[in-house]
Amino acid sequence: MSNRIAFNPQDRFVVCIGSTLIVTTRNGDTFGHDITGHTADRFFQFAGAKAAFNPGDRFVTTLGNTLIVITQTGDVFGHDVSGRTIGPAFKFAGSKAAFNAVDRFVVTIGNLLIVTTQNGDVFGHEVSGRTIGAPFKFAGSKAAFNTVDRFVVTAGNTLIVTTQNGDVFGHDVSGHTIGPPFKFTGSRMAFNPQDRFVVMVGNTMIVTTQSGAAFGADVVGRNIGAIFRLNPDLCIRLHLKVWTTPNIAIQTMLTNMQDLFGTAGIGVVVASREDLTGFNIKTALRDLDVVPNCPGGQLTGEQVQLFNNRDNVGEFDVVVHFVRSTSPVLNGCASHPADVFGAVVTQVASAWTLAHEIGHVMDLRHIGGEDTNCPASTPNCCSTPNFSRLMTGCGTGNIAGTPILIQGEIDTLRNNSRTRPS
Amino acid sequence: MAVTLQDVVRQLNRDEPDYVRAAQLGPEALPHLRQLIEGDDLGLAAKATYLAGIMNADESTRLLEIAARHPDPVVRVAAAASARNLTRITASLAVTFLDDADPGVRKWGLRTVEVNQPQGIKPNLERIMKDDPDIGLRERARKVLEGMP
Repeated sequence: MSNRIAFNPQDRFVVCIGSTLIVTTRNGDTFGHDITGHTADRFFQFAGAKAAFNPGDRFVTTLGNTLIVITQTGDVFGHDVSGRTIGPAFKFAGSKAAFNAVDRFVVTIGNLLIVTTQNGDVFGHEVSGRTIGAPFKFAGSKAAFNTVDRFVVTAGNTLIVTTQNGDVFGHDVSGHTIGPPFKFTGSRMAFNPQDRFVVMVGNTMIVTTQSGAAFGADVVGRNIGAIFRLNPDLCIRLHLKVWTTPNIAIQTMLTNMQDLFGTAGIGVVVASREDLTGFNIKTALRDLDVVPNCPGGQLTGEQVQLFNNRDNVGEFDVVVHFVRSTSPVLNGCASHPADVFGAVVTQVASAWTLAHEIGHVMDLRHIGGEDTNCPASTPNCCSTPNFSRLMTGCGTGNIAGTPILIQGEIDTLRNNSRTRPS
Repeated sequence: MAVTLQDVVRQLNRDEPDYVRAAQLGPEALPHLRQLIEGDDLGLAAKATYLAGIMNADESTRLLEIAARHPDPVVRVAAAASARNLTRITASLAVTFLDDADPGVRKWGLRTVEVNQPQGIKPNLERIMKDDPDIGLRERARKVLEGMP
């Protein structure tokens, strides 16, 4: 695949300027991937100077639009990056930096070059123009001194440390003081042995692997969001037929689905969107008669008629009809004809109904274990619901945050004939 | 054991409620259904309306009458559709559906009176047959009229 990231053995450092992920190689060639949302564009090669190709080059980081290369002897070199061109190398005046054997990670916050050491002491250098200021020691907490600490990056004024088991810790940096450590909630990051580089692009933490697959998670406050796969290798093509605008925006439902299915390496592509909300469109189908409980393969005449609206729908595509209501009243229904895959989603759907119903279309079932010790009169009493799962049978409207797909569900989705190579 | 509002909400808050099973909550659920029909959650109001009809209890007609006056057509459609499940439907409730400004409510009202034929609604059916802006509903009304005794 052309948009794998940093998978060549000769790739040496990965950093970021703006929304461009930059990969430097052992021979000094430098490559970039523009990152947009959850997508990394195909690589391009920077024109201009080679960078960071000397065996003695030890750390690479960025400050503004400048690529900074620090050598084993502490010399600091820079390359101004303009568009897709690497400027000629220049040597920073002033102090040497990060030349001690115990120096472990080098990052930047604002105009500060920050060096962490093996014992947790943290040193800084103010960078002014092309001059490295004298070193100073940060007050406050030690940082990144545990042997299991694996990667260090920064987001805003926060120093972020990931560990071998995927726990993520932070230190807020204020002036020349390192704040006490805190643990991020949410997803664990970069715990697989094959994870190779970690870089922040905006508020997204991106982990690249030896295979070139890359994963990301959005960092919001002190929480790591759901992990998604950058450039999913599979995708589902959706055709949206909008008979009624639902109360929760279609884009919200779609983004939720994209985020969650992205964790399975499956992209969700809107292949077409058809507006059927006009007055003269067949109003009868807006309030749709469906077979109760939406059994697979059983359809009313109206469902058949609805799914006959299949303009532009390819053999492996999935259609979603946004109708006003169904009878019986449902948030959605995944019954569809044998020759066209799809679901209906109603006006009262939750933010996760779209993903849930497409999950059904892709052969996922409701999870078990949500109806324990129910009275005989109401055997499905939802006494023990699990609202951390997309396929809860107790109502996706109760899901707070982003639900998960377990590995078995991911395997089912990825093996479904509707998921196609990207 | 008394049925609580939470018991009812758990049944209805699903993406795909099973109304036959939910109806096993029994008539004790009906006051809670009324509360939900009159509440702020549109989805629960529509689902509670549908369940009230499925229960086919003495109080069900009263709940569907309340739902038939709901400001949101999603709830009125649910009432018109679920009225099919009642053993009998009053002419006044049927007329409320047939005269509704929303074509979806009229559609399901026609289906309900086709199943459950109250007396005194033929003028309303004839009006739909002749004047309804929705051609499909005109045709449906004609068929319903043909099937009326």
